[in-house]
Amino acid sequence: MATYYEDLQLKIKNNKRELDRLNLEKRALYMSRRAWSEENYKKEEASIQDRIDRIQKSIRRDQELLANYDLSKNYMNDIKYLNKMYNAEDNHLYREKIANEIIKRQEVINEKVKSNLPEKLKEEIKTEYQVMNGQLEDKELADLEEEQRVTNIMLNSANDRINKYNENIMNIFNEERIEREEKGPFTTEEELDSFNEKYMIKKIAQKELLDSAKKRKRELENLNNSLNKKIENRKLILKESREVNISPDDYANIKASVEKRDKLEKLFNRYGLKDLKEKRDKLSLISEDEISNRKQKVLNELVREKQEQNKRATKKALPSETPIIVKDLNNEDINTNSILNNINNKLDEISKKEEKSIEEDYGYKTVIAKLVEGLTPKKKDGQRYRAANIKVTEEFKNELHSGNYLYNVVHVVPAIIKLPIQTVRKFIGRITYREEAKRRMETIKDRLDKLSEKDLMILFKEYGNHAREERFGTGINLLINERINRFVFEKVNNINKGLESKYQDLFNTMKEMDTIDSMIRSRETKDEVRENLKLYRANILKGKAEEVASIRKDYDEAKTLLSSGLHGFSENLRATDSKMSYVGRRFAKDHDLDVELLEKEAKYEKAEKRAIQDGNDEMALRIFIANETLLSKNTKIENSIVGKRSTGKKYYSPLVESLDYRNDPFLRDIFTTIAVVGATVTAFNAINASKVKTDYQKQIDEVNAHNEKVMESVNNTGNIISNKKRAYMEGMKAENYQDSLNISNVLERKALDQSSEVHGGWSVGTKSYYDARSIAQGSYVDFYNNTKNAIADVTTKYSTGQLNGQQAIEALGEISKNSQTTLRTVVNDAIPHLNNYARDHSQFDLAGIQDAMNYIVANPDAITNMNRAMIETTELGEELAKMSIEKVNLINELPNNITAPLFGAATAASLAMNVANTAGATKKGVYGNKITNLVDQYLDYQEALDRKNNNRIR
Amino acid sequence: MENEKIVILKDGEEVECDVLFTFDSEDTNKGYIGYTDNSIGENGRKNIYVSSFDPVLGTSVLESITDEDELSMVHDVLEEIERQSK
Repeated sequence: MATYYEDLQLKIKNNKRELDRLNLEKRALYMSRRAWSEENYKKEEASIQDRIDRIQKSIRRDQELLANYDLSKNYMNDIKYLNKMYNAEDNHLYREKIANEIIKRQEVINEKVKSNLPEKLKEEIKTEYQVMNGQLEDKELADLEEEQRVTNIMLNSANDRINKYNENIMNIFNEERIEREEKGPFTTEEELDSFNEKYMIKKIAQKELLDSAKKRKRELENLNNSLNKKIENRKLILKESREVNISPDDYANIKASVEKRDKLEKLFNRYGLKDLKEKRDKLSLISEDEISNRKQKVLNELVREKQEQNKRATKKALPSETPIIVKDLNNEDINTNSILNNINNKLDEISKKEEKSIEEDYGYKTVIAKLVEGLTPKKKDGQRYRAANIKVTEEFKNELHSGNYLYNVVHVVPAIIKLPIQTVRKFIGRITYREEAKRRMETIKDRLDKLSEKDLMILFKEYGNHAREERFGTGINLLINERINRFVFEKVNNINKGLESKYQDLFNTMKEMDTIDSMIRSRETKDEVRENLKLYRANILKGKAEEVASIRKDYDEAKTLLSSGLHGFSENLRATDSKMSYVGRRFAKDHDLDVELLEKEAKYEKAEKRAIQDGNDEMALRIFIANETLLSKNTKIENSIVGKRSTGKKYYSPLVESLDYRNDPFLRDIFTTIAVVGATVTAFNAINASKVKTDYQKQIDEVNAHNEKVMESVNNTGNIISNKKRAYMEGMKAENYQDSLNISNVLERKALDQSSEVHGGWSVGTKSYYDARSIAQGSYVDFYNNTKNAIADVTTKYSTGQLNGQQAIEALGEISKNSQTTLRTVVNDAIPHLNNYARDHSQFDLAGIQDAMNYIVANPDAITNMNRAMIETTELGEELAKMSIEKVNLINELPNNITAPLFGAATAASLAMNVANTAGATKKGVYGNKITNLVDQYLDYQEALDRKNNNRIR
Repeated sequence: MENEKIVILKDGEEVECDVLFTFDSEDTNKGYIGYTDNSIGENGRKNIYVSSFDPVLGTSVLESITDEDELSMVHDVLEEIERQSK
């Protein structure tokens, strides 16, 4: 059942639609006025105007109601929260502040309740009030509030008058325009003067009304502000006086005196008067004159302050007249769209001329030469870290010199070191060019910012294809990439602005056509009116075929700039810097080819092109609208574990948007999911470590054996990754990067080793268990942080363009695949522990967590595949989303005797749950833009129209 | 630089390793060490380990290098050493 609020929203929407229709009806009536007798015409016009007025009034009233409703609701929520804060606060100063906040909100709600809120909400607010403490009853406050209420009503009325001015002036312009259309150009000077005089009088009258309303508004606003201050002061006084138990009026007087004294005291202090007095009292060394002089200074200061206050007040009171500019009016009838189109066309012409004038007489090499003139950029400029103080042993130097050895360089710690390294001494080289590099980069960046349009276009068109052969270095390429991105996005945004205005124009025309057509069809419409409507219809259709053609052209141009242009450019540069192949990936849901849909689209495409060629405006417009709505209907945006995505057959967007993966919620959520999977693995590792509690020495051995097994497994996995990486990372010097660290394994070892260091080895008993537990907890946190950091590192590099999509996937694969290796074993180990615990704790329902675990076990390849195709994760996440939140919440309430492993596992599951829920609750409006909404609105409108027509036929 | 030795634990046994090179970085505030147990990998190449350590706390615990920027720096150092040795 729709709420009162939703009903109101719908009512406003329908009223606005009806208003549009009535305005059109009024215009059509005017055009057909010759077909009416004067009396009937006036009657009909008055009837339409009356309906318009009533609807406008109704819209205003409902909008105000909605605003009051929202405000009251928000404040009620605030109050609930503030009440809790109030009760929890010990410090009386803070309590007082909170109480004031509550009172402030109460007053606003009171006011809204007294106004025109619906009964239902009034009741709700009254109930809320009963919860509140200490309703204040003070005559002065009540009077002030009443005065404020009246002021607000007058203020609303002044605002209405200001708004009314816009409507009236719009009508005058309409009349002017219609009269000119009807009578044609002026033929005599008298005619022009008479025309101007007639409308000028009306305009001046309206302007006078507006000025008066504005003046009144300013006065009322000042009064309102002053009332607000008075009310606030009164409330404060009431509150404070109650605490000291004296009458509010007495308290107010005392407070004013104290404030005055404080102020004087401050001034006395500033001029050293207090000290002087004290000194005089003590030593009698200061003369009375001296004190008088100082006093005079205080007096002067006070006078000066007062003068400034007055000056400020005068300044504030000065009226700030804003001239009314006709162009600023939001008048649809002035047809701003066609004006905008003209402007856009002019801009197009200019930009074409500019493009022509910048015919390339030089290429990208010249531009790069300009950028680096006087600098000597190094290939490593732009890298983050610099090494220094490199020392190398003679033996190694000789070995390298002989050239007899090749090396595998491994960055993983093989084991714990027993002996400290001795200081190594011999100096070979020092790299000290960091500051210079920084300066070079800044200079190039500055020069890039100042490059002309022509230079940027040359870089954009040419440099990407040559970047690989040039190998100018990472730093310079990053800067060029960033600048070119900015350049292209500016261009695309300009195109999008033009597209937006053309879409609006076409859809508005279509709506207008629908209404005209229904009037033409109507039997009640007189023949003359019908003829006029037809003329009007033909008029608004003019140039639409051309407009459709220009939309298609602009769209293609922007698409070319972004998808094949900028995307290709960036990929080229990333490939150059990463020495990777050019292979890229896109993440989208594939569908079976819908032949029927394709045929329909092909039919529209052909028909639209034909209509444009023939200059058939109506056909072009109708096909365009049909095509757009077809695409929109087949784009179904839904929530999923990976954020908003289209589950329909199309991913339609009227404006051109970037396909940059870095902003893709899909990819972002994938990263989060991987982090959660990492956390789950950690939790299970913690469970493994704690087995010592129940299984004693035998189990310790098992844990150690397990560690060995895991270590072996990790090494094997490392080899697999290395091999695959070689296959994927073509051209990369894989030898230097081949082994990666398995964090979980190292942490497990760390746990064992730390305990070993402290207690001389693992031993049976409670102390060992608790040590294990605490280490397991520490490891959990460490592991989670490390995994998170590793993922964050990948995402940062990805977002800054240091890694391309494929590299990011590979890097994430390394993180999550290692986790997956241990997952299957540890899940099986964990479930019996959880079962035992669940038996003793009736409130603990294991099913949710177990489902999640079992799913991962049953789908061992899910995580790995996720990093290949990115699709399986969706199902994994959606499966996790099935866990009920109650089960996870219970875990948070578990008693203290829960073991660390259980806590770890539950937390991990809870995190997974959280991801699923967060993704499910993705906010509205993530997908699409203004024009997408416009198309949707048109679909709603069309459906409503269809329903209406069907009803009529029945 | 004189030839230095460190001892690591490998398969539960203490193994003496040769230190090959060291360097540090002001950017990471870490020291770095390259060493080898003279073992030969499956591809016939000699295994070199590169790890980082905290120069303030000392070198009793070595850490793995996972940050790609750090790896890139190590790569530069190796190139530099190779260049200087020829």
